[in-house]
Amino acid sequence: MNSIERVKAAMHFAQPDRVPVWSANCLFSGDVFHLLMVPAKNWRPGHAEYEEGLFPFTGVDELINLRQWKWQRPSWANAPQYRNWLEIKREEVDEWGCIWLRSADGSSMGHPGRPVLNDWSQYDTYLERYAPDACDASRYVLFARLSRLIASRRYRMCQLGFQGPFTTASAIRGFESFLTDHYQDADALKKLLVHITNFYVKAAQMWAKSGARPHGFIMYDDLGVQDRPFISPRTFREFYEPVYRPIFETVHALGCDMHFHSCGKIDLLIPDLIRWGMDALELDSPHTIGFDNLQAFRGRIMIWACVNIQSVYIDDSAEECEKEVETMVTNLGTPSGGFGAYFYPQPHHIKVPKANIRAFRTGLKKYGVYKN
Amino acid sequence: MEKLKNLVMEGNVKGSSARVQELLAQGVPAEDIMRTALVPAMDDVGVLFQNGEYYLPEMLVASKAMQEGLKLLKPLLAKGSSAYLGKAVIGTVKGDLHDIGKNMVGMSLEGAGFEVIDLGADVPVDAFVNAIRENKPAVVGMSALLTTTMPVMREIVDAVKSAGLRTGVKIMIGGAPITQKYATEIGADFYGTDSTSAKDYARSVI
Repeated sequence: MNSIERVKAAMHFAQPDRVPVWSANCLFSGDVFHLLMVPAKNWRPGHAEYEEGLFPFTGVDELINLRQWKWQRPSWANAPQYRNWLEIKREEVDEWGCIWLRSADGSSMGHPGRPVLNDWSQYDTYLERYAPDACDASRYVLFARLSRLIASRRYRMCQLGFQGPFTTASAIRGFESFLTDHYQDADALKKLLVHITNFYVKAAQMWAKSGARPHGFIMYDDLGVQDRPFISPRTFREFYEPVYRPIFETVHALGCDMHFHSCGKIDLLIPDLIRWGMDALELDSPHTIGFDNLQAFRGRIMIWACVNIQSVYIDDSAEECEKEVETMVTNLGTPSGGFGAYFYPQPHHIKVPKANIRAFRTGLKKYGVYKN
Repeated sequence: MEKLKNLVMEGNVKGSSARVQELLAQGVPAEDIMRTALVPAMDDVGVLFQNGEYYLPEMLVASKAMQEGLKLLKPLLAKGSSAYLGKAVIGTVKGDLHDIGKNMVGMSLEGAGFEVIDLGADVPVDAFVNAIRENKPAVVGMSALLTTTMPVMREIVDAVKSAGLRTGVKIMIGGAPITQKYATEIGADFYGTDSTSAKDYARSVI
């Protein structure tokens, strides 16, 4: 069984030979090859007057370090203090105009900063400035080429955007304004969500045309906090069915699977996501929802999970990490499949002991076969 | 009063403000409005949130409505008023930019009658110590989402002790990786799992 067959068998409960592995940051290992969208070649962050002092946010610094996306520096950025700008505390701007706070040590991917759309009366101006074009073919070239070179026999997972529509809208408006918009500016928010949704639908179509030959798509959204979703299931349904359903249907129309990531305790939202077409859910901290609550979805969708990054992976012993793999395979998988091992892509950001990463791998060797 | 309470709970910002003005015009003392409408409204919001009937947007709009009313009452509320519970300093510790939990605690404390001094996110140890020295708060709330930033809480507790300020202030901590065991270990007074429990504790120590 090759990697493509293994992931598909796990997804469709067709008895794969073992648990498939997804190491999102590894080009050469695992059953899944993860393809990223690159910023458009002609994107010019920092050049407009309203972007002076802002550096580009690509989501993955390696794209810049490895010169896979080149920033045409505006004149202010040629000042000597910005020579090694990736090593200073700074604000970055992404293609949606969202501001990211980045630290000098690169110890995280950054944190959403001040909102770009403070006031809905500025919406038209916002659209004039920030309407990233998903149809720009330059976004897909790098990873489509890599996938042909090194991943012809692996499951090709194309990422849609850097973060999902919910998180993008939140970053554009600022978290608190975004949440209250669901009550106080519902129509304006819905308009913004349509604008964002179109990007994701087109991105999926473009990946299919790019030569990447995708098997699945992944979208990273964060829909909840530790004990609940950010918004009620009713609000979620009203605002986000028109967002997720067309994206998921586009993916299915391309003959592909839809994978979805969220942090937080979102079990109350999962039935709707399944109804709209989600085929697989990726969880970095499965304990947040809890194995008991996840039982309801076991056998209905595939669950990708990491050894719980908020506790076991960082705090417990290697032996406990190994044992956790068995717990995950048993509780999240079925005898026919349905569970996949997801290696959190930035273990250094959360200081995961190397022994625990090794234990995750060892655990998969010991327990990575589905059983009753 | 019941009408104002309902307007706050519904998150009706304009309605709450207008109703407070009406009540003041009728000669109802500011303290009564605070104690019998705004504070109970936010208490009920807290209960609905704890029970899973309210989510963040409902809590935020209710808090906005309460704040609009409070703006009108503040100049009329004497510091000695029983509706004024004192000062609370809150912040997310150095190295951590996550502020959702901290903001929720701030809203709950304000709704209960505390004057909240919000130091923001990524707050250095010294800033907490200075804020305690300058404001003499009854409670301090610290938040951290990351296991890598949790240790800063211990540094702050130690620095507050070293500055001779520990006896006058109660320290509350919270955040995803925090546990009661950790709170006890670093010498914090209270570990809260949510904003309502933090508010209840803060109120209990006044």
